[in-house]
Amino acid sequence: MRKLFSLIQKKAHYLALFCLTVFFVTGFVSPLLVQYKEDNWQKELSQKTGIIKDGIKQKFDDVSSAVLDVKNHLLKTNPKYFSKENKTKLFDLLMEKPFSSCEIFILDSSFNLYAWNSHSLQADTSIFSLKPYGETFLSGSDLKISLIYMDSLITDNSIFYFQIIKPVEKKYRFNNEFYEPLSITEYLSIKYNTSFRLLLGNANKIIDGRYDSAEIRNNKNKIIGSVEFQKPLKDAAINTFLDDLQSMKYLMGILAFLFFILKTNQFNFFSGKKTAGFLLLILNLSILRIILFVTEIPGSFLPEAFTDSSYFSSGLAYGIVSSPFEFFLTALFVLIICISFLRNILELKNEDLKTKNIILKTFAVLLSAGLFLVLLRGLGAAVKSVIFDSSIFYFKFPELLPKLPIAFMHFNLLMLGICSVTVSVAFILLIIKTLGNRHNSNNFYFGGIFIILQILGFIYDLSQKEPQGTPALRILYISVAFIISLLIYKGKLQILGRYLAISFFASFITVTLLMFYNYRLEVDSLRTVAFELMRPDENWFEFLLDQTADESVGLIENETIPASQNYSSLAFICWSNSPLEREGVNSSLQIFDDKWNLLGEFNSDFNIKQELFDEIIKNHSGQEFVSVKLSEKQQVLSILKEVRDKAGKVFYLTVSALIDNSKFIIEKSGKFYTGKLTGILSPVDIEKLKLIELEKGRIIKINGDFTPDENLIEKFRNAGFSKFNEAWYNFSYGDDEYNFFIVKTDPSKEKLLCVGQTKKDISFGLFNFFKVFIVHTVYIICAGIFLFLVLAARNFNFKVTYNLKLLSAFLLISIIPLLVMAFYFRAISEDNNRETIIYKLEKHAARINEYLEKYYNIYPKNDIYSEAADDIGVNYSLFANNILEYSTQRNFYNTGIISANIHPAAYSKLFHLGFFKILNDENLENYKYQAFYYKTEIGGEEKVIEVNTAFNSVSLPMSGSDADVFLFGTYSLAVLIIIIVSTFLAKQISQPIFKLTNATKAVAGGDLNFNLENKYKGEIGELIDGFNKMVKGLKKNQTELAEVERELAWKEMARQVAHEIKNPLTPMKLLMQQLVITYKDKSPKFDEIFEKVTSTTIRQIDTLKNIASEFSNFAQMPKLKLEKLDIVNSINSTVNLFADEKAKITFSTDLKTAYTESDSDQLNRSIINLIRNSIQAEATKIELKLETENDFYILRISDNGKGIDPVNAEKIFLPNFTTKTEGMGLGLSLVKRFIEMTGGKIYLDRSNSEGTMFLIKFAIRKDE
Amino acid sequence: MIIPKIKYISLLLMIFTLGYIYQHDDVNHLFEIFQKGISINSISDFSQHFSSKTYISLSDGTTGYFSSNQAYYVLKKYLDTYEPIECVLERTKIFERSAYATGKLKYTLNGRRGSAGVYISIQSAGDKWQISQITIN
Repeated sequence: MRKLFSLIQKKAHYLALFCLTVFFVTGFVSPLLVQYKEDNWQKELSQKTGIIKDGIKQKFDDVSSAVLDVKNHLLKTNPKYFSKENKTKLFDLLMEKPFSSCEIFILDSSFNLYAWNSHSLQADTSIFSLKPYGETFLSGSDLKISLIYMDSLITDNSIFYFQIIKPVEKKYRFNNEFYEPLSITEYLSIKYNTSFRLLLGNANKIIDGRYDSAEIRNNKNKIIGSVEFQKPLKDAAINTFLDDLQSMKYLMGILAFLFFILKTNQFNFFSGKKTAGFLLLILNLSILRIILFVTEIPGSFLPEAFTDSSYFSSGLAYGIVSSPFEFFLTALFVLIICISFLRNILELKNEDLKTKNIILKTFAVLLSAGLFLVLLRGLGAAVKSVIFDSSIFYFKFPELLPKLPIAFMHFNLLMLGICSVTVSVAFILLIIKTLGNRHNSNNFYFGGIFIILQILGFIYDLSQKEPQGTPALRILYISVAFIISLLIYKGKLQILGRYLAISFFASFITVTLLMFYNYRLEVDSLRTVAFELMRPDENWFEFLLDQTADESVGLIENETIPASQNYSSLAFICWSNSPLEREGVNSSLQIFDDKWNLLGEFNSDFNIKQELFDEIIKNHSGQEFVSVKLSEKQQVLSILKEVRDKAGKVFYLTVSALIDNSKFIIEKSGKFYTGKLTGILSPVDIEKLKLIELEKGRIIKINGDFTPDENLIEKFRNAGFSKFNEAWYNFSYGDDEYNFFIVKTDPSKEKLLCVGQTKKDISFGLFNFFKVFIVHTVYIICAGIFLFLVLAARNFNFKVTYNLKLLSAFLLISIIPLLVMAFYFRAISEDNNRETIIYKLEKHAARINEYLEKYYNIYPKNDIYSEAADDIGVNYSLFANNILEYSTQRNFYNTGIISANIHPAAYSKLFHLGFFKILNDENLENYKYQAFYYKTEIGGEEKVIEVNTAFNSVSLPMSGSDADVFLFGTYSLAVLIIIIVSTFLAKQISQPIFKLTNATKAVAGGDLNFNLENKYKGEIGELIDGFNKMVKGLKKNQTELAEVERELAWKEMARQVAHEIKNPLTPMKLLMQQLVITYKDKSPKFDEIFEKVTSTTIRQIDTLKNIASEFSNFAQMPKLKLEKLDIVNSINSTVNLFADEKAKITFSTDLKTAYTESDSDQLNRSIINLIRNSIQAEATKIELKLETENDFYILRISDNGKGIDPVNAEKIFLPNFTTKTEGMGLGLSLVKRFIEMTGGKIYLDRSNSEGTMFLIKFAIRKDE
Repeated sequence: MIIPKIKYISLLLMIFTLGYIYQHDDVNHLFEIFQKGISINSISDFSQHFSSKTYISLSDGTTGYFSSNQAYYVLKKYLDTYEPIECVLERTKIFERSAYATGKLKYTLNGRRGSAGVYISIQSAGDKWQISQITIN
């Protein structure tokens, strides 16, 4: 990667030039290309049309293949499955793959329904006699268009007929999260960017040059339908082409800019360059950001989940955060700048900030503190905007896994938080470095800075009209940011540690702020709900009815309605595609023939009786809208339209809406088909709101489980209303706390609308917090892994330490059982809920059964069925064998939304496995519910009563989502506590081991002065004691050994000297003795012997002299060779000798030359000696600094080694003094002697556990 | 005595009428700039009249309450796709504290023309009128 990157950097200027060329050429070439496109449009159109037709064919071939595949599997099925004894197995088989991909109906030889797997389609047995076997065909059933295959299947003793149905197009639509879209035409529209229409059989196509069509052929190559489409438009195609060219041009421009910056090496974000480099970085990023914003690259290529302004948009800076993706880009660029800023601050040395100007210092500190506080406010304001300028409700739904837009916004929030915390930490570091020096470890000094920051924060908040966040949050933010800064300053946090500390703190602070502002939004939403409840008025309903009627007319006019049309389905289709559905209005749509016979209808929570119809029709003479009052608080608003289908058949359409002031418009049933409830999109769950309408102190309307007493009502009436007749009221009632918004809807009638909610308890708070925090944690860990890999590539040493192993063990032991418990409790909760549902639904079914049994033979059937529902207050359905006989929700069965056949799984269990009652999990679209089936005998006939949760509300002790909230929130807190406690314990246990390890290494390295502080008890305390004793003993032995060795060395030397001296002395003595004897004997050879003795003696004396000279030279310093010497040059060459040394040795000076009178060799040796001493003292950093002071050159040699024991500080320059086990202890004394001989001085300036500094003074050469 | 009273009453009536006209002019003016703004896809012409929470319901499925910032971008995005040709408010009704207008929007979508119903509702908030609801169906 590095090689590739450096290659790109080398060639960047060529790449930039290439991109710029393409940029300009595109501009010139565009008109020519457009002209070419226009000239060749027909050819292109023909190609595009061909592609579309191929696409249509391919899509239908896929559907057909799926159907035929299922057919083949069915024909290969073992015939014994079709016997009566194995019918249950047949049902089970049909509900498994691959059969479950299609709807299947199997009929017996008499064309009675035998087995099926569909609950959303009605079996149409009549079709078997109308359509061919063995080939596919398209059928437009009531609500769907499907591809169908029919055939027969012969078993050992019978014949069966089957239908395999694959829906391809839904004609209806629900505007809610339960709707499962299915539309082949919509798929094609999105793919080919034009409109499509599916036609069955030989339906008439539009004869128009603007349209074309593709035939749909079946497996026998017969035409079964066609897909009509509007041909691509030349203008649209050219506009798209121009947009693409423009995008490419912009992309080239951006790349050229990037390559340019790469070449000039300005994108070096993290090198921590000085001010100019940093400012250049800001400029480059700003330009790039603006370019990306203006050109909408790459936003225009991304899916809507990232670019939809409804998820988030703010007007800040001309829209530079106008969508989630723009927010992401802006936050990313700001983050790069923030990290660079922090690195710059980290690399600042205390000496760089040293100034004696107090005013300047104070100004710098106050400015940093001020900017730090402004930053905190900015973060609060940004998070507030994320909440208030967004349609995302972060805490409304209890889903644990967020959807993509939400997950993306979580990431953006995290980046925002990291930006804020990073710069805050940088500012605090700047303050600490400005006010002090690195070696000042006085805690009072740091404490003082902390208190000043807190005070400034307090004053800043006081000065604001509306501080962001809370005082507690402000104090916490300042505290934690300060602690992180301090840890960084003291070197306790390295790169990975800094990243984790800043990221987790940023996550904590942003999530807390998010919850804080979300609470404000929830409270504010009470006001919105109140106005929403007041919003619908007659004008609004008229608009909706008018639009619905127009659209329905448009739908019918474009079709030829067949004689077999299910008009209730048609009414439902018209209604479901209308704004009435979207707004969730209680409404109704009827279709009449030209003689005003009702053909079909659909009612959404609004049953219109015949008398009302008559009234409506009677009043429609010439008026567009008719209003019929049902009661004082209820009226029906209706519109009537005449419509003709394509064949000229006349129909009448009535669309009606119920304006019901007796209850709140949010009270509805049957959630699966309603649009977003009356448009209320609120951060709170509407169903949990308390809604009360008062008139002159009496409750006239109420919704929810809260009923105020007289006292409270009086307080509502006397709440402090503003000039807009609005008031807020918070109170405690029972065990709960409430927020209420109150508005006067009609001051003259003293009408009040009160909308309130309960304050959520702590488990919700925990759940909400951890829901987002855990998502952030995942992001932080992923980025952390990436950072770790980058560091590892740079030879970062990572070890699995004892501490880490302990921590992992603690976490595994604690968290796994906790998770197991959480899943277990969740499972128990689900089981309990299921039991509750069974119990309640069974109770309903039993009551229905009892009622029917009692009155069945007394009253007419249909009357008794509806009376049972009304009297008991339960919605239910009744099946006779497998066919629907009655339902309170007949509406949905008539339209075909729900099949009139009993659910296949229920049928199989009840009629073939001998069950009497079962609970079945079912679904309508994506809406899941439970249905309880109760088999009984009524009037001597076998019946099945079905009661479900789709149309009956069942309250549970703890719903699945409540269980999730409780478990997730509290268990997440427990996990966090476990992590903190485990980290603490692991550190406590491993710390003495860590210290012992370090101590052992130190001792092994020769440092016998090590003494481990022992504050531990038990085995660890004894171990440390033993270790200390061992080290003391070692030191004592070593000292004694060193003494003995030195003594031995001196003794050896003395022995050698004595031995050498003895050698010449012995012959000298012998000769002298001989001379004395000769003299005494008056020998004639006296002169000869005298000559011999004297010459020998003189020789031996010379020998002695030589011996003495040798020893003198051995002990003597070499002579000084004084000369004009450049200290700068000398030190540079000496320092270079240590280039391969692990310790970092630097030499800095402002002097170009520094001449003194000295000996080059000995100066080098002296400096080498001092550097070696530092290395032996385990220094990793040695600094040499030369400067002028008065008439001397001052050389400071400082290191960060372990220092000199204060006890020895005075002795270090004494000869033969050493604390080392090797050496004669002459080094420093020789250095001192040399320096003093050259007119200089050497001092030990300071020495402590953080390092040592020697100071050498050199006399400036006189002629300089 | 009667004549000064008549004068006084006439003066009062005139003030009310002028006030009513002024109020209506204010409302009509807002409807006009909305109509013009939609027609030429210039949301900023009327975006300063959005209330703090404006209900927007559009034919592309966008529905909900949006802040004034969001309302701007949501409408802009819609009109960038459904390029307006002309917006005409055909019917208006003005009440004391609220007013509404309905009309038609003609647009081009992928080169094809279409039309949609437009409903706008405004509310009085103190001394100014704010857009509380926009529906384009």
